[in-house]
Order: sequence, then C-alpha cells, then structure tokens
Amino acid sequence: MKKTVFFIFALFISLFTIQSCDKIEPPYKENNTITPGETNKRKVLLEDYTGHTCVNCPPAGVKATELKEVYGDQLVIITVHAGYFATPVAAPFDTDFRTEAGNDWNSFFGIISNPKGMVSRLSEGGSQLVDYGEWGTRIGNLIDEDELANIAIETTYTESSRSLQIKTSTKFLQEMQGSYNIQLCLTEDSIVAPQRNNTATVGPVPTIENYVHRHVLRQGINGSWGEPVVSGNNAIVPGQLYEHNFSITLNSDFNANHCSVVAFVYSTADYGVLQVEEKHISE
Amino acid sequence: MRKLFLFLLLICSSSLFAQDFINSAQINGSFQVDGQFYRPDDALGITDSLIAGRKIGLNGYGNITYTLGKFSAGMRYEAFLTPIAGFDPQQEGNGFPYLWAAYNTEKIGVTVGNFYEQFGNGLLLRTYEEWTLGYDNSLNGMRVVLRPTKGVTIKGVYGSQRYYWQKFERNSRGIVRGVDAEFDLNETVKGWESSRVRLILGASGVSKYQRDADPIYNLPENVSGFAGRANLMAGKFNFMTEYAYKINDPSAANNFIYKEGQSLLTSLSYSQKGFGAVLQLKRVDNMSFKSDRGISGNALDINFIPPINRTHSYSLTARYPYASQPNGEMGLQFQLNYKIPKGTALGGKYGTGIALNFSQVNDIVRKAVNDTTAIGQEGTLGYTSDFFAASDHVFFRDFNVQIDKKINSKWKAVVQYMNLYYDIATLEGHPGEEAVKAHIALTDITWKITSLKSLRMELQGLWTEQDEGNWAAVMAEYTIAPKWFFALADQYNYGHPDKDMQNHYYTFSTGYIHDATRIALTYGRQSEGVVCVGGVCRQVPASSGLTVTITTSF
Repeated sequence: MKKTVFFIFALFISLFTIQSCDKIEPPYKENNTITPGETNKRKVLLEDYTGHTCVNCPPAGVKATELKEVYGDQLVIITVHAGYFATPVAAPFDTDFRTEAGNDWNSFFGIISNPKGMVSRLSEGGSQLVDYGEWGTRIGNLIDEDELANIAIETTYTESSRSLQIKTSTKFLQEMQGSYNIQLCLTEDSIVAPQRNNTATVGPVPTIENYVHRHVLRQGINGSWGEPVVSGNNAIVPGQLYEHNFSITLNSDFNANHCSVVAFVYSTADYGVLQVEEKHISE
Repeated sequence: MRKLFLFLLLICSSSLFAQDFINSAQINGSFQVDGQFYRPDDALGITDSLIAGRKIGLNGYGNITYTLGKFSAGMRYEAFLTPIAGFDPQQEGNGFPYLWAAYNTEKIGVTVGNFYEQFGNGLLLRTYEEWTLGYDNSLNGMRVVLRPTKGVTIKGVYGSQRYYWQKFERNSRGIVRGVDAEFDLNETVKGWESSRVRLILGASGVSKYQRDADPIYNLPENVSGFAGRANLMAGKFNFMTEYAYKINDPSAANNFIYKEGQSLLTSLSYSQKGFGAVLQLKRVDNMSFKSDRGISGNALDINFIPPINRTHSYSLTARYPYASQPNGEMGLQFQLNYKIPKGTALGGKYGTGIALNFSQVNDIVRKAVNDTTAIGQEGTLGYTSDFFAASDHVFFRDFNVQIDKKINSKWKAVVQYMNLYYDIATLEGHPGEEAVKAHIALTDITWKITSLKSLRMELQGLWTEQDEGNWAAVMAEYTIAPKWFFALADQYNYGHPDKDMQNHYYTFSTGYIHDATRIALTYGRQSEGVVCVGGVCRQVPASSGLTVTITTSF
C-alpha cells in the first residue's frame, strides 16, 4: 500500500512537471511585423514615468523603444520625468526635466517608484500602473481594437518667433456616454543627458553620460487635465468634428526639430484614453 | 463585498441548523492598528510638500478565526488609509483580502479561499504574510491535503496570488498550481520505526500559467519547477538539504533571459546541552519565480529564498541587513553557541553564553553564452554558470560574536561585536557607491531594581567611512511589570559626511499592557533605512512625528 502510494505520487509529480512545462527554443524573439497605416485601429498611449537618477529606469526605456519598433505609429510614447528620481541634484543630474503636468499626473496616479507606466491609462484589476515587463502584453491587448474616436492634428511652426499654432479636429465614430477631455502635450525626442543606470546590458554602470532620453514630456499645452472635447453639456454627436485651437511659444531650450505635439482624448470618469495622436511640429 | 456577504450568509445559515454553532465553537481574533502622524522636519528634509497633505498614515487589520470541530473558517480585514510612509502606495485601500473555510480530518484536509502554504523550505512555493513589510502573497484558490497512510502527506494547491487590492481577472496575472509529498520513512518503512536514525524525504512540483501576449518575446506560458529534499537526523546531528530546478522563466526580474533556474540549500547542525553548531550553504541561480513575469518588485513571489544570515535585533547591527538575491548568490553561514559551565572561572555563578556567527554571500560566476552576446542580455539564454564556482564579488559578510553574562541576581549584560561588509550598490540599488565596511559594538545591560521594576540600557557604536559615516546610539528602557514601559532613545549620525545631516534621531516611547492588549506610543524621529524580514526588505523613509500601535487579541 505504502509503496503504491509512493509510486503513484512519483508518477503524478513527474507527469505534472512535464505536462506543465513550455521549454522555449531559440530564437526567443518574435518576428512581429505590424502593418503600418491601418487608420481604423485604436492608437495606444504609453506613459513611461521615470527620472534621471532612477538606476532601474533605462531597461524600461529600452522596452518602450522595442515596442515602438514593433507598433510604429500605432504606439505613442510620453516619457514623464516626475517624482523623487527626477528631482535635480548635484551635477551632472542638475537638469530639471520635470513639468507641471507631469508632476500633477505623477501625484494623482500615485506613482512613488520608478520605472512605472500606464497604458492608455486603462485600469486592470483596479490599477492603472503597470511595470515595464507587462507593457507589451497590455499594449498587445488593445492594439487590435477598432478606434472609437479619431484625432487630426495640424501644426504651424514659425521658426523666427518660435510660435507654434495647433489645431485639433476630433471625431467620435460612435455614440459615447459620459464626458471626454482632450489633452495636448509637447514632447521632445532624443535629449542627450546623463542617466543613472544599474543594468550593464543597457549601458555603463553607474552613469550613462550620453543617454538619449526619448519622447520627453516638455509641457502640458492645455494644462494638466486638458479641456472638454464637447463644450457645455452637449451630447456627443458621432461623426461631428470638434475643433480646438492652441498657440504656444516654444521654450528656447527645446530643439524644435525634435518636438512633437501629442493629443489624447480621455474619459473624465476613469481617465482611460480613448484615442491618441502624435504629430511632429515641423512636418 | 458580495463575497463577504455570501461568506457571512454561509456562517449565519449554518447557525440555523447547528444547535451548538456558538456553544461548541471556538472563536479567536487579533487586531492591530499602526498609526503615524507626520510633521515637517527641516533637518531631515521632510517638508509640507513631501508630506503632500497625507499627515496621517494608518495601517490596521483584524483577524477572526471560527472553529467548530473539523470545520474552521476565518477572515482578515485590512485598512491602509493612507498607508504608513514606506509602504507601497498600492496598499491604499480597505476590505477583506483574506477569507477562507477549511475542513480537516485525519485523512484529508480541504481549504477553499485564501491560504498560506509552504513546500519544504519554500524554494519552489511559499505564500505568507508579513505585516511589518506590508507583504502578502497568499493564494486564493483551493488546497487539498491527503494523509493516506501514516507518515505520508500529499498536498495539492492551485489559485491566484494576492496583488495588493487588484482583483484577479482573466489573464491579468498568472495561475499557480503545485503538488508536494513528504514521506517520513521511519513511519512508512517496516522495521525503521524504532531506528535512532530518522529520514524524511520530500518532493514537490510547482507550475504557473500566464498567457503570452508579448509582442517582442516568445514567452513560455507554462513555467514549472521541481524540488527534492531530505532531512536526516542521527543522534545529535541533523542534516537537511533541498534542491530546486525551474525551467526557462524570462521575466522583468531576470531581464527576460531564458536560462533555467537552480537553487540548493543545505544545513548540518550538531546540538547538545551547552553546545550547538550549525553550518549552512546556499546557492541560488536565476530563481526569481513570480506569478506575473512583468512584476519586478516585492510582490507575487511564488517561491522564497531563505536567508542564511543572522537576524540582528539591535538598531545599529540591523542597520545594514542582507536582502536575498534571487538572480544569483552563493553563501554560507557558520554559527556556534557555547555556554561556559557555571562554577568555572569564566562561567561564574550562572555560566556565560558565547555565540559566534559568520556568514558571507558572494555573487555567482556568470559567463557569456557566446562572443556576441553580453552577459544577461535580454532575449537570450543570458549566461552560463559553473554550479560550484563563487564570484569574487562579495555581497555581504558578517562576523559577529556575542557574550551573555548574568552577573548576579540584579545585573545581566550582553556585549556584541560585529564586523560587516555590505555591498550597498547591489543590495540597495545604489550603483557606484563604495561597499560599507563597518565595525559595530554594543552593550546591553539590564538592572533588575525590584521584582517588578527593571532598567535596561543600550549603548551602541557603528564606525564606517562609507555611506553615512559613524553612528552612536543610546537607549534607556524602564519597565514596571507587567503593565508599563517607558523608553528614551537617540541615534546620532555624528559621522555623516555632510555636516548638515549630522542629525539626532531621538524617540520617546511608552507603552501600557493589559491582558492581551498593548498600547504603545512613540514620539520622535525615524532615520531612513531598510527593514528586512526573512531576506525580503523594504525601504523606510525618514519620518518625524508620533507613532501609535494598538494590538489586542482574544
């Protein structure tokens, strides 16, 4: 009887272990190619909350770049420098990449550790915050969805005065309940500045002197929380174009050739982003 | 809420049919509230903007267990509103995260709902709750324990793990399932019943399922591991060993490498009256095992890497605690306890206790898998590692010796010396910082004034040229048994390289104990540091203000 129990269990545990294994053989990377230019698909916003003294943040930046390579224009990235690790300290980390909008979002969404992200600010299991190892999966869950709204951005940039005129046209593609805000931001890509680092496969430890900071949030163009897409208490009319105009003067520290306008429409009820669009200001 | 309602309904409806539902039942409970009231403190850099309006942090729980014969059920309520500084803000919330019911007989035990479980030493599976860390990775599912014959225990579990207050949804995180069996050969093999040598063998298998929707990597959806263990007891010797193996498990914790994981834990001990010795060895290689591969923090761990270092209880000896490194570590610990017999020259009237402890943990050796792949490169096999080779990179070393001496019926003393090496760059994630090399010495003297009143005094010193420099600490605790205690303490960072940061961290504490109720108040400053329990750590920020702790049980 005892021997029987022993052998039955040995057989069971062997089967259990073998049956519940997925041994992966090289190549470990997927050969994913997303067809670009599918205009009827939802675009996804990835916010990467980071800081230049955050030693664990560079791998998150690598992950964001890898995802951008896979999804192209269907993924829009904003890198938000906010919180403890973004605070300017002694040189070479004395540059202040923080913004009022970034600080407000960081505080509101309760981010105290970095790296952290949000994928279209959508909640899963009660939380919007996502560790970078999970970004790909969250984005993958959304990327094939049909778009529910469409945003078009037109920009006019005058180099001499550094004046930037922006016009957005938002169209809801079906009846929507609730209210939606449109938020505009200015981002600057490829800012070269030092970054603390603890991952040797990404760059020198402890500091990457010439780190390329991608898609850095520079300014909330219409504040931290945007403004209603539909003015007053009017109901959303599918197919109707809702236009908004903005005008800013580009900060002299920003490299206009690397700046983009990001516009996203979000629900004021749960902050979930319905659609996002990005346009380089000098295109 | 609905779950709670059904749970209460189950209990209430049972009462209608069970006459002795109350009379024959046993109900136990325990409660705790920890509150911190913060105030700005310029010297510590605590400003109004850092407090950000959250002037009060409150962590609390209530545990209730109901037992009626072979049936038992329980619940735990928790409220982190707002969490105390240093606890993850994802803790913020309130509710019943732990609800369970169980039926246990001699042959079978079944648990539904939330439960804690450990297979062997936990190398493959350990779910537990540690209040001081704000850590809880309980399983929510089912557990079946079979005891088909004497000396044989077979367990099976499956479920999802707790992740703060985030509800498990389809594909939101992984599912854990596991089996374990333990055979006490002295009870199962004929003729071994009366043997002086005892042998217990165990084996387990654990698997997690998590969907692969990652666009970059081809990820294993089912990751499993197995472990085998043995415990041999012969007279005064005790030998224990456990080996665990896990197949490829690319995750945020290991930078998405596809190497297999292994760990080995071995200990040999000898014990007799007045003398004890323990030698422990450990090797861990790529053994982070979480039910969500995307998580990199202290959450959703399926397994547990036991620390083999002395757990220090004095404030300065505990200032630099070791945190287990699941990605790779190789360590040993040797502990020797000897009591010099009473009546000898050194033993005196009461004897003298000597404890000697040494532990060291190094990194493992990693070699590149080929000429073109960096060690640990994501999306590759990662590296190869010689199982028996330890790297020159020392994470942690602790040599300490402690002498306990009861001088007479009124006085007793403890003196301790500790020599520490602490790789702060790895253990606290401060790359580039020089490892802390410290000498720590302390004395702890207790004066029993009367049968009810006593005074305990601590004097400690920490000397180092690294990190925050030298520290001194004093403490005096006056106890009026069994109700009251009062304590004054100060930690002085007099050697901080920045003179503006050479702060005093003073506290005044008092406490009142009545039966099973304890109320404690502490006012003062808390220095920034690390709290570790079982090799799992959390950062504690500096704070200033009032702390209240109330505990009671019935």
